[in-house]
Amino acid sequence: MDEQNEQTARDQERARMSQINLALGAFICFFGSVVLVSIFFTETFIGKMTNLVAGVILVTIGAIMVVRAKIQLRNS
Amino acid sequence: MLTGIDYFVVIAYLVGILLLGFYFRKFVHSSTDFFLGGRMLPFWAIGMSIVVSDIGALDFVGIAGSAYRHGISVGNFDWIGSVPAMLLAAFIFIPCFWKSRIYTIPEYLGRRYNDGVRTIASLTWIIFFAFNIGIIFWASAVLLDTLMGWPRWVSILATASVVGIYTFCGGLTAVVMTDVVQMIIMFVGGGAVVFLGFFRVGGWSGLVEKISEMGPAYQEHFDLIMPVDTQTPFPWTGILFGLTFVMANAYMIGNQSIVQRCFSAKNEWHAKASMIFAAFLKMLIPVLVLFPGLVAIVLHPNLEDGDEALPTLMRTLLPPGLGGLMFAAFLAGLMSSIDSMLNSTATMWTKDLYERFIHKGASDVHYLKVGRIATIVLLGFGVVTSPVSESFEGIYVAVQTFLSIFQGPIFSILLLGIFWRRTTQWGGLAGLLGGMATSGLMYLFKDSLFTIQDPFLYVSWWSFVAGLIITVAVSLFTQPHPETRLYGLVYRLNKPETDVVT
Repeated sequence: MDEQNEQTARDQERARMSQINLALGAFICFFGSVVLVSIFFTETFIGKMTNLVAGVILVTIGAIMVVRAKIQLRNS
Repeated sequence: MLTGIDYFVVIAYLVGILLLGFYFRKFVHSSTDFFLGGRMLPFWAIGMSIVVSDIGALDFVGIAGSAYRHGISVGNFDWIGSVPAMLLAAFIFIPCFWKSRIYTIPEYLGRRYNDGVRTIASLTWIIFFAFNIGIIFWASAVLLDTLMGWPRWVSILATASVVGIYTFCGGLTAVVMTDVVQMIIMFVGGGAVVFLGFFRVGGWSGLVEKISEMGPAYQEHFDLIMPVDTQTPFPWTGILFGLTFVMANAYMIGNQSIVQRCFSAKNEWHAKASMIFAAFLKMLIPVLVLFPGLVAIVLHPNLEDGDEALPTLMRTLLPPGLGGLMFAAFLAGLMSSIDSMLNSTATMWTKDLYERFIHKGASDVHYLKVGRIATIVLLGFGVVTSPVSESFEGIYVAVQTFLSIFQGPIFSILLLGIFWRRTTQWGGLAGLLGGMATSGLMYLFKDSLFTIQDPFLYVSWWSFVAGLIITVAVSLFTQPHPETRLYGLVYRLNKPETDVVT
């Protein structure tokens, strides 16, 4: 019985962490998209490239967090 | 300076952080959830949070400014002035704290020594944080006014509202998780400034070559260790004795706003790993905030004030979008410092004072409510007292002086409490009070004792030494706690495992 309760608590904790990661990932992803959009407002080539790299980094981090969280949510 | 898209980035950031704060409210059901994030946070989030709480908006500008004026020796504050202390915390102190399941550092001191030590330590930290919040608000508002022309009260009220709402709603979970976002944004924004700066000056070799050619005033700019008679404020003696031995340890081990995060880890392994991960990230911070100062020497050699180095680079280097991102990183630095202090102070008020002296034995929901109310009251206090910084010129120095009065003595009794089981409750109390009195006396006679105007590092060192000596001396003449009371509170003194009857 104790083991079962422990397992349930662990599952709840994992689900909670996944929900948090999902929210964070979505926000970082959105923020990266805004940086990517700002490429169109940039005049210099180096400026465009810097925005591109920064935006891609943010979107990638966010996307990884979202995907991982979704997988964990599905599994729990 | 900011374009339309930059403003959009900044507003999106503020709104996003606010929404995250509201969302995290659903995870707060008890006082443990509010003060310690339900003890379920992973090491990577805690590590990022520790670093980002330590680096404020003013540090961005200040460190780049120091690098512009004095060179890379300012990086000592983040390297030798942080990393050894963080590793010591990770391997020795955090496991002890974590095992004793405490909420606050004063609570540990109370268990190891007595309630008097706990109350004094708690009160001094609360007073320090309460005034420091106002000072950070005002100093950042002045910075934003200078950089962006934002009215000071608009900056203060906007940041206070956002920080207040997410800290009130989500407690430590919101503080740590918004810090994760803030850390990522700081690294991406700071990295972009460094990349574009290096691109303009021809990389690291181009930077070294150009600065070296600028004359004798820049001879020491690439020296990490400065001689005792250096003209900079970073002689190796002050760095080693004042910073590395005392201030850094006291900050990383005895500072509630830093250590509280480790208490929120899901297990002891995560608690230790969080500090080690934070130490790794801390080593990268100077790259982000120090190198821009060096780049500015080459690109803008005639700045009147070194603190203009980073803002000037932001104006001249960053394209639209990233300018807003970097500005959001400024706000992130500001908010992460404030949210940490708010949550830590609310925790100490509720756990160390309210729960013990004002309302004992109330329900958990009651203490959760008290923690939330304390957060709002502190925020209001910070906002209202922030303009005092302007009318009283020396308040920043006064607060730093106050910090140096008690940091050394608190660290001395923490150190002895963990490592020497013979330390007694009266030794700890005498060491704390004696060390603080030593600091006070040194400040009283500072003109005849020191040659420099603000001897924080030296006072910290000597008050630490006084605290150690007094604690040892009094402990030798007083009765120690029985060993059974010290289980889990002293390094490698754990409750013996009882034999299993088979």
